[in-house]
Amino acid sequence: MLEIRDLHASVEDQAILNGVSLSVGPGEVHAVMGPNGSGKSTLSYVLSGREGYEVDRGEVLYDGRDLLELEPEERAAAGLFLAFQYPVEIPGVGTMTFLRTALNALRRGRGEDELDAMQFLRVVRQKARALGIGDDMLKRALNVGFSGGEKKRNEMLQLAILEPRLAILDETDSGLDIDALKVVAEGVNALRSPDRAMLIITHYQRLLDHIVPDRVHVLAKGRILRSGGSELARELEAKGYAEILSEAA
Amino acid sequence: MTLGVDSYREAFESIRASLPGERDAAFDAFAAKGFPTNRVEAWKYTSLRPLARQRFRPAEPDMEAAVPLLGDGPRIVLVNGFLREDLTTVPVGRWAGPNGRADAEEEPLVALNAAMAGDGYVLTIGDAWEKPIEIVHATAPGRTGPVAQSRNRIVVGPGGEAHVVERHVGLGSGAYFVNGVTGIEVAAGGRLRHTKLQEEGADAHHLWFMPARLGPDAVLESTVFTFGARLSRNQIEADILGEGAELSLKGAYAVAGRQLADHTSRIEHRAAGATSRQVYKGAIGGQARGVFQGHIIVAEGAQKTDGHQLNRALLLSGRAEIDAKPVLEIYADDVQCSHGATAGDIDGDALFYLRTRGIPADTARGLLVRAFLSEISEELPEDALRRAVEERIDAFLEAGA
Ligand SMILES: Nc1ncnc2c1ncn2[C@@H]1O[C@H](COP(=O)(O)OP(=O)(O)O)[C@@H](O)[C@H]1O
Repeated sequence: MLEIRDLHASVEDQAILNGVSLSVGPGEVHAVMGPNGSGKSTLSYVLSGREGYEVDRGEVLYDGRDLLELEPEERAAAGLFLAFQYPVEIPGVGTMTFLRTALNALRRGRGEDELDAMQFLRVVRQKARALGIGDDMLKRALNVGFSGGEKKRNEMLQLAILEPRLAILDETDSGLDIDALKVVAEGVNALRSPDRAMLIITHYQRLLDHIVPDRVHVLAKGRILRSGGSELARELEAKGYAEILSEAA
Repeated sequence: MTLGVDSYREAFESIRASLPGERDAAFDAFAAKGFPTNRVEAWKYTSLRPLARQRFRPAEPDMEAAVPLLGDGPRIVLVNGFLREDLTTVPVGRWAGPNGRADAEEEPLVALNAAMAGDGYVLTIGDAWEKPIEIVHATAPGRTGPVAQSRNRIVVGPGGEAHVVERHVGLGSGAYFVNGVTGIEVAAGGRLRHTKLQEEGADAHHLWFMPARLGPDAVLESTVFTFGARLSRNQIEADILGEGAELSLKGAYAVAGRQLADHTSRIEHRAAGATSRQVYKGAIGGQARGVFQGHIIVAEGAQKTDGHQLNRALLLSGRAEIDAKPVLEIYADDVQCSHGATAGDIDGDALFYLRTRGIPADTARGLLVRAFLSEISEELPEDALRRAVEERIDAFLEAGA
């Protein structure tokens, strides 16, 4: 489903990814772990098409299509979703307006009917409740004045409503207390399905206690140094990144 | 050589006999200075040179034209600067001329208005009005471009309270020039909400002056929405004369193409313990320009003044421009005053975030522009009015600013 081949990318002429290769099949959950500054967020931004992230070499195929030539909204229409590490606050844009505009844009792209206000409300209420999101939060401007945890839950709500085929979760666990973490993990697990893949980007292993990945990759200095099964995450937790980094050196 | 004097002298002389009141002093006051040039500090950023060179004939009453209304509440209708009694449902007085004392006018265009205005309403608010009063200033361009000048007054007495909505519209396409005045007086304890919706035609020039006076504990909230006209200036000069008065001036504008939208205000705090707030927000596309000049003066003795102004511009194209000039002039020592100005393009992070959710770039940009302007428009108390403003913003966005 997602095929990253020898990806080199830079920001402001500074090389950050130095040959990342990764292959994620349908239904699979992969974790990308790595120390701070290893290029994890950069990878997620390159995949979602953020301006300023230059691909210098390599390719990314999504269902066999060249992902990198698509605009961000075209990637979303193709089923890609990025849960942001730092969701953006947008004053003046209501959360509900935003959710509805996004869902209807995607539905239009998929050739489905747009949802009217009532149908939409029903969908949102039900999914919001499962994530412990109250009406008051939905009434506010998008992410404005949300706590860190509320922002992350709002990302998960979008994930649940937009139902992407490939979800990238960038540091979704940061800023969450243990109860919120469980709620989020349950939400993510509920979305696991044979035709939906996920790429979970994280510094810590704790989220992976709740969302058990099929594969774990260690990213450091812009390259994947090791890949393994879910036990690799626990090994990293116990030993830290230092050992792997020195092995690779 | 004074700018524009000769052609207006001709126009003035052609109608002088039909005008009530003594006009010569007013015309002389205009003629002494002519149209202000960029050398005049207050007109540094807005050039009237092309306007002054254009010839307009004095507008005539039009008792036939149909005028689109926003609501079905109380209303006052003027066409070409003349009251349409048949369409007006509110009892109003009429302006009767300048009484020959116009030489005191500092602004030459206000003097020109005093010399040539043929009509104008005087609205007196003595008690509380439940429904908003809609005032339409419509101008029909006709075949020869007219200059419409009316001189209007809103007087709010003690205990008076109302929402007055002044709309400026063009009837059909073509060039015309509107040079109007609405004077506002709010007496002790009176409250006026004033909303102006400027939707003049694309080839119009619109200059409107609003001298305002506030008595003790008077409240005046004036909000302007600027969408139309090739060139427009909304100029407010407010004198705060009574203690504890509250003045709020707001503006939202969306301009594109080669439009110029100028919002100029001068607030003079002459009494203690009064507050003034100003927030102007503009979305500027194409090669359009915005001008904001905000001048707050705190006179000696106006202690405990609380005066703030903010101007924010969203530049939607590389060739859009904003000139902002805030000035604080303070002669009292115990005051709280501030000003701020920002200008920038659309927040790239916000745009990217929306696009990753599948929202096309154009739609996302539209959401962000609407959000930016909504801080001003969402405070409108009437649904119909708010919708009218939102429709204008939608039209602006659809035109691809
Ligand atoms: N906009 C930027 N300009 C310059 N360097 C950047 C920029 N963004 C990230 N970097 C650098 O790229 C490296 C990787 O960053 P990032 O992808 O955020 O790593 P991680 O998410 O793993 O912490 C870091 O050294 C960081 O300083």
